[in-house]
Amino acid sequence: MSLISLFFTSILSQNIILTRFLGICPFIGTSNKEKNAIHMGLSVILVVTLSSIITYLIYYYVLVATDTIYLRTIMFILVIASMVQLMDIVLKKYFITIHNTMGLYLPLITTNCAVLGTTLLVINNSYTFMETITFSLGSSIGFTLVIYIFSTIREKLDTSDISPSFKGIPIALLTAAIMSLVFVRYI
Amino acid sequence: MIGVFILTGIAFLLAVLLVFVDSKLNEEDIDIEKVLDLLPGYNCGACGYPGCKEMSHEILKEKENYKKCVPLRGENKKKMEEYLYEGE
Repeated sequence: MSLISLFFTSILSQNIILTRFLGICPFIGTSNKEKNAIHMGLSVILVVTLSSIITYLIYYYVLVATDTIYLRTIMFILVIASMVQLMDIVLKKYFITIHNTMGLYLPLITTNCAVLGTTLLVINNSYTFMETITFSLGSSIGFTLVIYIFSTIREKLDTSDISPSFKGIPIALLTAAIMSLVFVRYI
Repeated sequence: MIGVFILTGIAFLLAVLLVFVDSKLNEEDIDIEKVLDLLPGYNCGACGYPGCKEMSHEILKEKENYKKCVPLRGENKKKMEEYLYEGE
């Protein structure tokens, strides 16, 4: 039961973008088209889930066991970068078009703070292994959900009549602010 | 001191994993630039893909796909076949 509630809280009320403000760069950067948003979301789901599992194992079975917890940050970044690199290789081979449309934003997942944020939150909240999987899956699905909803709104905004001073990023940020209210309080 | 070994060890393992995956996925000896050179370069779309670049990616996935290229005939077709199947 608690796993299910953890899953849904990490998607909705504890959403990684709208309540923790992590991963804003890809949130604004790749949400201009619906398709880009979905590709970004799926890549993030993969990277976050894989790296959370690996960093969990490394943290508890290597770092804690050998009393070298101070290596946490560099170790996690190392794992995340490798996972992104791995995905880069796989996407280049099987989904070359997706690889080309994502362009610069694919390697930028490495420094997407949503990814490092999730792995660190897992350690800070001292989750168990099952909770880690649930939480990382939930947060990344929450990321995908929000970036997808946001991209559909932005596509609509592109064709609507907006005052020139708000066009582009300003209106996108305002939209994000209103979405954030909706997610936190379930309006 | 033990931290040095742990960090190096895990970095080594990850590097081995990446190199292994990369070599597994890219073991074919076909070069995309070369295939693109051998295609006519009309970007006619007769093969069903948007252009010659996309077509060359399809050829990398499945060699037989070169037959879909309509303007590839005669001497050039022979060259392409020779290149794709030279190792076999």
